[in-house]
Amino acid sequence: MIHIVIVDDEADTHLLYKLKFKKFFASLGDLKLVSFLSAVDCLNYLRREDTPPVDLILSDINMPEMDGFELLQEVRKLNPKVPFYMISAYESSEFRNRAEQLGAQRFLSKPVDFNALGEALKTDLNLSL
Amino acid sequence: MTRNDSNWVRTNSLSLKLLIATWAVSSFATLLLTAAQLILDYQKDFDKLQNNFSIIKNSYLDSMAEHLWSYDTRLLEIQLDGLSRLQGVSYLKLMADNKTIYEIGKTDPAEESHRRFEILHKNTNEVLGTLDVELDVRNLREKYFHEAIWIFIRQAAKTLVVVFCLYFIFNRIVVVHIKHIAEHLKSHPKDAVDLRLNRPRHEEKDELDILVDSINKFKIELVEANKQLALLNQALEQKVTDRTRELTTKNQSLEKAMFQIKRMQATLVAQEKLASLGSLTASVAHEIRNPLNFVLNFSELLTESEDTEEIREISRVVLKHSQRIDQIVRSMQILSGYDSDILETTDINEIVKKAYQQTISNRALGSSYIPPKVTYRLGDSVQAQAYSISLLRALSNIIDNAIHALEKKVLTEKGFEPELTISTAVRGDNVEISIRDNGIGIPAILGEKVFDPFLTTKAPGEGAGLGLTVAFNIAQKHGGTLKYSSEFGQWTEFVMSIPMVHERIHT
Repeated sequence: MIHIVIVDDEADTHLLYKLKFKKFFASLGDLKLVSFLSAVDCLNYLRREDTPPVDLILSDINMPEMDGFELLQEVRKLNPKVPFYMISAYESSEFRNRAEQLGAQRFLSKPVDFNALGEALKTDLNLSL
Repeated sequence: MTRNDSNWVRTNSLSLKLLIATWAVSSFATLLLTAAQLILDYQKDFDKLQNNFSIIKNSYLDSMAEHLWSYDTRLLEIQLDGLSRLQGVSYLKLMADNKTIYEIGKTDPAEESHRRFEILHKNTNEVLGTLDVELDVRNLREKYFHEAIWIFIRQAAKTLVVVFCLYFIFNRIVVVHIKHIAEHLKSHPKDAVDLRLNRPRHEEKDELDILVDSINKFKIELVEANKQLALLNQALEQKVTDRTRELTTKNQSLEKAMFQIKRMQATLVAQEKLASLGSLTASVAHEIRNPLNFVLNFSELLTESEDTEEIREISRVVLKHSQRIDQIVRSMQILSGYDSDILETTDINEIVKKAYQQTISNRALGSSYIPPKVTYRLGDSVQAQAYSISLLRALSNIIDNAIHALEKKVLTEKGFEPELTISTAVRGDNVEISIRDNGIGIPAILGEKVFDPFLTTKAPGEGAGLGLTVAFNIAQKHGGTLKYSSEFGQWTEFVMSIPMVHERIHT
């Protein structure tokens, strides 16, 4: 089972990922996709004892309350290794560097190129599709 | 100076005062001295007179007793004649055996100096006769009285003459010159004409000369001081003129600077406009790109999907984001003035009510929100020339923001009662529309930025941040203004003011 967590304050994005991933992971069949509108909710979920191991976290940067960078910092405290993709509406080298420094595996800009995302997932999650 | 200047009748002149004072003092002194002299003289004469009695007693009475004893009347008469010739003896009467032997002169019963001598026999002390003697004291008094009067008259006259002489002398020596000095000072108060007194030549300087010298010196100093003052005045005037000129020059350069600043300001505004146009374009592009991505991605999914439920869901999302794009484009069109609204006289109260109803009904779609308590304070016949569709849009935007602010406060504050007050009024040539809510307020730091495009506090997809920008532009399109005041956490009030008669300004 592949367990993917999505954090974005725009609900339609969740739907988009859901539909795209459904198609992408169709052959694997076993995909657990959990979406959150806020980073705080996401952290609460990750901290829960009964949460199964997470394979990937996809997070937006610009969110109210807690942004993507803060979330990344907290996630790294919980789990230093879990793949973390930072998604930004703005292509900025500053954001990119910061994300890298904090330990994000990848920095993707919106609109997400799903073909590129698929290739990345294949590499990072060792998928053989 | 209306005083009579005649020398004689100047009652207030120094000379007259001197005259009266001298006369009074000298008269009083003369009176005292003369009186003393006369009293002394009188006393002396009176003593001399009294002396007659002792002469009679010592020298005459014995021989008279002898002659009486011998009754030698001839000798007695000779003796008595001699007696009567004594100075001051006014009455003599010799009596013997109650018979008057001799009587001469007049007797005065009031006379005090009457004295009776008894003529005694030398050996037997037998009274032979009596001698009555009266001295002429009355005459003496009269004599002195007359003399006193004469002396007084003489002295008074003498003093008067002296005093008049003094008067003229003093007049001549002092008063005339003092008058001259006064006249001179009166007629030449400031010029340098020297004061010179018309006096006979003399070597030693007296008080008047010193006075004149002092006055002349003082006048020279005064003239000099006046000259200095005039010079100072002139310098001052020159200074004032210079300063005024300087100020004028400075003013001119200030005006010039102001003009330059204004021109720079205009340039800056134009540049700012261009810059904001650039950033606006970027913002618009960004704002449109977001929903457009959704549209693109979801449409792509749509082509591949076969699940009816999924297709419906995707279609809804596509529609929603297409609407967002549409909304943005519409706002942009209003901002750029490419809308087809027409200007006509409109009942503002109607527009206001419609705007509220429209906003509420738009929100009611899919929202569980309870409308706030609305209070209308609408003025009578509030009419203005307006682009009704635009105005409706502007007011809707403001009301929508107000409701949004109320909604946020409802969520965070328990027991909060949302209130919205919508007022209209005619103020002078303008119509004022006020929309006031008791919502969360606007942070003061935002200021006029609330009117900037794409500034929003709403969640993604709820608003593009163009509402107030559009409202502001619509107010401007009407030749009016949109202003707001707010207390963060308490209330916000937007006031739109538009002229009743629109005058299109071509800029």
